[in-house]
Amino acid sequence: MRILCLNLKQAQEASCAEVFLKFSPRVQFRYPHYVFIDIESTSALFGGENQILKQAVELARRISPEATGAIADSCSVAQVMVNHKPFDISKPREDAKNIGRLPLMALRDLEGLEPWRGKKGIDPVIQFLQSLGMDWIEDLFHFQEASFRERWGDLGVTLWRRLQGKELQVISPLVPKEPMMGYSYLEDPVSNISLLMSQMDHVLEYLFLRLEGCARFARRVDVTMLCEYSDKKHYFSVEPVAPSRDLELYRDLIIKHLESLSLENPLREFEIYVYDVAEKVEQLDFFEPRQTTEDRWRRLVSMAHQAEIEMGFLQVEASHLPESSFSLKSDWPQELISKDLIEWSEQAVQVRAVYAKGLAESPRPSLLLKEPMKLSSIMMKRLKVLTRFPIERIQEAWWKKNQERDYYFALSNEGQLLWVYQELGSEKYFLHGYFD
Amino acid sequence: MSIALSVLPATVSPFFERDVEKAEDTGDNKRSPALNALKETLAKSLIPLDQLRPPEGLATGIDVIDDFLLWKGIPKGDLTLLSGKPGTGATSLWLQAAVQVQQQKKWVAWVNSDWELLPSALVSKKINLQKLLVVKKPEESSQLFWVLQEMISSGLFEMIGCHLQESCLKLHQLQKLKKMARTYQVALVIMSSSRSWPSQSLFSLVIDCQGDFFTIRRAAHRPTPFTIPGGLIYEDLMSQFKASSRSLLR
Repeated sequence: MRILCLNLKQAQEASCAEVFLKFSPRVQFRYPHYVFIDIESTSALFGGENQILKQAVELARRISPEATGAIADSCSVAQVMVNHKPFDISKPREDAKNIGRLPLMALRDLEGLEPWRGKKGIDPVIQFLQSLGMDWIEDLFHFQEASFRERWGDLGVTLWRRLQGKELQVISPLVPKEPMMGYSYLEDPVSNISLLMSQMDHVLEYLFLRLEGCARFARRVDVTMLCEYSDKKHYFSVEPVAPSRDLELYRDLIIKHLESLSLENPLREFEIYVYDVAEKVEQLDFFEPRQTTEDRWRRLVSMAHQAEIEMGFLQVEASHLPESSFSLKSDWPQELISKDLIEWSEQAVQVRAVYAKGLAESPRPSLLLKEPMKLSSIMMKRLKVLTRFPIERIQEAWWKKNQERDYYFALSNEGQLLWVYQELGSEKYFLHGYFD
Repeated sequence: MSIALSVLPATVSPFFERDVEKAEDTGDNKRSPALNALKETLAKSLIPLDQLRPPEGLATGIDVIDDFLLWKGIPKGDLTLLSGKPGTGATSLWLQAAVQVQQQKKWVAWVNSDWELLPSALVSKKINLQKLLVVKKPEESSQLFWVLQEMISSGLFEMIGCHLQESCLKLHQLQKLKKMARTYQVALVIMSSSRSWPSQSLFSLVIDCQGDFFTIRRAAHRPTPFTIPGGLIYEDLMSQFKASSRSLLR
């Protein structure tokens, strides 16, 4: 495992990990200001470990100007290096050699994803080792695990494993969950637009860096500003024609809105909420990768199939029975052309028209019951049948008497327009649909 | 002075300007500097009518409804409730809006309930079946919520319609759907047999469908209830019905 550790120097929110998602899906933030990135499989995409370290530090410095970074085999050693040998890259399987010549105090940073427990942490261990005359970390490599366990119990075992690179700290893939919201409480109330914008710029830049990390675009930005001397709120939203990640564009739009406001009552707090979307509705740049409607459609259908939900486009089928005159096809619609059925009969081609195509002209209800509902004689008396003669008769082969139906329109007491039929074999009535 | 002016609604500006001009015409010269100042202040603080943009909507094609509603149709990026028992016209209203959406080469989606859409009826209403995605009724309500979320976030559809019972979705689920609909600018239209949803305030537009007439119960910035004759929505069906009955009697 190869781990890139970034030290942002100032306390950050957990959401800052989203900024670094472009380097790897496996990113983890550790309070107060460490970000660990698993670059094992992604460093090659950025031109090697040197390049990825350089790019990650550049990005981190947009959040915190003094950020540093380092690469090692494990999270704990990477943290030691970022604090004591910043910008260094440890060769694979040479972690011990790299931190060997560091003073014992560096053990305080040998934490990784899990910090030392308790207020004193590792300090009593360091003090004890110093009292024995040891000064460097390499002095500890001669001890066995059992010695550490005997002296310090679980703490000793953890320390020994971290020194030997045998503690497994796995970085899970990060799923962005934090809301795209930024808030700032101004130390001094502001009514000057340029001063206000200098404060807003930090929040906006941070939010847009997160958008970039999550590969999302801003569709709309809502700004709420609270005044100092009253409960008055200024609220406006900025929405360009197409979703975008162009910070300058949003900045200009916000300035224009601010210029139209009367800020006599100075502002104390502001909140910025970014409504993000997965991608742009319109492609703005020729070289930008574009996801087609078909791709999105196939993804939706495939996800629905995995959840055992049937979805698709209605296709007319060759059946005179209304309930079997259609089906759902989950193909891309261009392939859905209602063709007549062509059959080969010996040497001749026989064309059989799709029967249900002709039914488009006949009055049909918009909602059809999955299964016809039997109507009792009492229920039938409550309905008012609108025509004396049937509207439509459906017949199949003469020996299938039960399939003969006479369809009628009927009105219920509640004004519902119904589609009912009488089965000719049994004389029973069924409700089959609603003209909704 | 400026505080009092700032609370004036934007739409009064033409009337104010007219009054100001009238006062100037009457020769009240003593007031003219003050009126001029008033004009200048108003010009800065009020938005001209031509720059006001109403929230987006999807036209239903029924002029009475489109002219009445602020969105000029079904609100886009919001929830709409069409309440009424099946057979009273809710689906027809949705289908009319769907035709308008499809004419703009955009897609609509429908989630089946105990009843299914019948394609032959849709074709007669000029619905393009290749731009209408139909989802079979999910077995569980959690699946329904999930599939609605997926459909909204796919960004494929302008309008999604579904028949629901009020117990199908919990309040927080409905709130989430509303938020997603706003984010992805999708019109989510829910049809229900029940006329009294406890969470009716979440819907920006509520229409009661009663077959012979439709009543708009709730619509932003419009005086409600507002009643529309059902014939405007049922027109096609009734003419079809008459034509077919005549042909049988011949």
